[in-house]
Amino acid sequence: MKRLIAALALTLVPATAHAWEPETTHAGLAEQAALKSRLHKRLASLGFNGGLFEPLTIPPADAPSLIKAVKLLSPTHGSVPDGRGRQVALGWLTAGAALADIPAAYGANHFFDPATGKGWSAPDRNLLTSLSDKVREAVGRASLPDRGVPAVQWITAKDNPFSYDNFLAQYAKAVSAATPGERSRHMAAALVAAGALMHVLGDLGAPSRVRGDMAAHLEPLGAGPDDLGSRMERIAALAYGRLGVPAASRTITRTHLRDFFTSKDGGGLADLIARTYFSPNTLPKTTRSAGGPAPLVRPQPRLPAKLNLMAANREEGTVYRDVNGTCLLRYRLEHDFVTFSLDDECMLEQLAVILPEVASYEAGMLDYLLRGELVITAGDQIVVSGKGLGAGSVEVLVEDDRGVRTKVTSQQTTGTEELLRVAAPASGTRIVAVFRGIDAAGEPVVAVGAAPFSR
Amino acid sequence: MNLLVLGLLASAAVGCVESSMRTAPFRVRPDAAEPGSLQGPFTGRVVDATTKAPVAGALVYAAWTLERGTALAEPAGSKEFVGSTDAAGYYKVPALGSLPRGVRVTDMTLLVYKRGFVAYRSDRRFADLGLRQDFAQHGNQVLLERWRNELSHARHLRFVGAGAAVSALTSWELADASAELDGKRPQGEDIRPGRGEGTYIVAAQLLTEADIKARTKYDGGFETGPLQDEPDTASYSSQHFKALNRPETWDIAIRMWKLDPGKAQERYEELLSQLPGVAEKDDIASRSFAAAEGDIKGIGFLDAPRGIVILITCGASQCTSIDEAASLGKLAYDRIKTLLPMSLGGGK
Repeated sequence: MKRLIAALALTLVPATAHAWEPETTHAGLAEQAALKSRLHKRLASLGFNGGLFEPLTIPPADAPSLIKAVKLLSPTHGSVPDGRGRQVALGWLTAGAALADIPAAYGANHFFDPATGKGWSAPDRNLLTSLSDKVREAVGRASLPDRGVPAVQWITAKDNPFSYDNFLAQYAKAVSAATPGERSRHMAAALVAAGALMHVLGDLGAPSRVRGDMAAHLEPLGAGPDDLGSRMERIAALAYGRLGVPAASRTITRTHLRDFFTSKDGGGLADLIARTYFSPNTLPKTTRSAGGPAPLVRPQPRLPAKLNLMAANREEGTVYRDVNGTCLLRYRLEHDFVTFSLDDECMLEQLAVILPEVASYEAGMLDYLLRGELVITAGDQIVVSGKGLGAGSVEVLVEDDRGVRTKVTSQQTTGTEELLRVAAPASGTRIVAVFRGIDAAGEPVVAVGAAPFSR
Repeated sequence: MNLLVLGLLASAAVGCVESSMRTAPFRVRPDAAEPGSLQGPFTGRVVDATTKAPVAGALVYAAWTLERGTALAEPAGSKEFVGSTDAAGYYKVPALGSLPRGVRVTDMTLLVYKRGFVAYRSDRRFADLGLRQDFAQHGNQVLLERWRNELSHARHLRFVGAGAAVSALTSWELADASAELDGKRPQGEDIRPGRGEGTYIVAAQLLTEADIKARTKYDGGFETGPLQDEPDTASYSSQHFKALNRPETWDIAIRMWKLDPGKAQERYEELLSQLPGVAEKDDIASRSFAAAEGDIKGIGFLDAPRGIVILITCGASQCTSIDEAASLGKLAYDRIKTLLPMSLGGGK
């Protein structure tokens, strides 16, 4: 298996510099995160009874540019709606995970180096001179953007069509809009935005993206001069595709959205990956075998005080593994010099550890996006309460037997657990409530709730 | 095995460095060392994994994934083919036609689906979602495993992916998939082969690009997909053959309604009363008509025992005579009879 994948990477691949591949790895990560998260139950509780498999529709006439972009995806990868813009909720989420790379320039906003706070920057003169003529020419033809917005800023950037704010706006309307059709459309749009946000986070699971290693995304991969990309990300696509992406091992919880990416305690995905793995161009520098420890480009990961030079003297060298037994690099002793490299089999071992971790972060972020939950007690009076919420406004609506929702009342709230108490409406089948504001940590949040109602 | 594949792939890479077509990760034939071509054509046979009997009328769906750009690349759409296995279980997917400038083909996935069986993908296995390594461009053998009630519909829906034709055929699994995620095992109907799976066909299975070209002598290409006027449902489906770089008078569309026999009769009568220039012919299936208005010719027929109503519309540049449109109608009827044999409950 490993050898096959390695050979595939060597021989088959016209690669791209965008992220984990959008239609395979990213779509698979989004699926696994969704299956681990509370999304299915949340959808069902809001009246989307099929949960992840509830068909949702965005009529092409309502969002022509979005539908046009979705149609650029391949149906076999699970995220292309039918002619009327209809597909299941899970499909919309994976569509968002793929759409984050359209247009291609957005891919430059999926880098973040926690050591410098910077994102993508186009190859500088020093890097270009180190490249082969063919690669340099291809880079010149590609017109790469000079700079990218660091990923941790891109998720809230005003010009990001799938920003956190846009997710919240669509999510709130998915509960408060009047008709089932409108709510279906807004929920689909919210899921697209959520998928795209998960994509931006997931990209930071690639070591080169969090260690400032742009050169790793300019590797010739064998299918023509313009075919440059990240070898590791391509190997991930070949080894796992969409369907084979491993399940999330757990659900990461954080208080702030930014903390999923990077945090002072080093608990963000970018922090974790940057200190745990090398990338192809941030390996220790070649050193004399008798010259003491190899100079590190970054403080972490560290090398052992003594390398196994006897094993390194073999033709294939030897590998250095972390405490969990995962290959971190290969090193060889030749003519008294120790050289370091990352081969395909080593990357494959790393991917087996990294991808479940990325899925865990994505599952956690998806739960974070959906964290706001309201409890509704419906009797003679409607009482709406919610924990962990700050200031904002709450809106209560009643749904009739045709599925149409109309506003009962709305009011400002200040962070008390009981948000609102109002006389019950004369008739209806369901009460829903939407809170728009901030949570106890000061982060923007939309909290929702629904309860059956009869009178 | 792996070493053989490695050698195959390594040798293939050299020859396609400048190609807009990625080297295929499968062999040209099951017993060959050379790689196949993503472009196709593809041939093979679908059999029941248990009985080894041919599986007729299975959906054969191929999608080519396209990409454009350098370094920061982006998805550039896809091309798809929808067809069916014949009575002996054989399928043929024609080669991919020309591509827009600057677009490259990054992969091709073949999906075979028949209700009552676990779907087959050319790239992944259902059981463990691992890499499939036995797919071949020509002479491929597809062993369809019978569906078992303990299998997961949620997993199966993820496995088959999206797309109008596939979604229409698998929409019945949605409720069961959702129930699984709720922690409830679906009660499920009996879906063993021969117990109703044959009634699930879609319009895209009834005519292919090659069928049209063989009859109208059209030498261009088509973009295919469902019509935009009415969504595909369990009882309705459509396929639009939109002529590339030609006016609409080169387009063809086929609509299919699969209803209870009484409702099918009503639908047919509605078409008779609503369409312009209708002349009843009754030379296809139970009843048929020809219609014409301006640059569009139409053929409709009712297959009463199966509850199927078909309407084919063909532009005047594509179908220069009503006979050409009628020949497409007859072909569609022949295909219905193959896909839904009455002996297997096609009329139920």
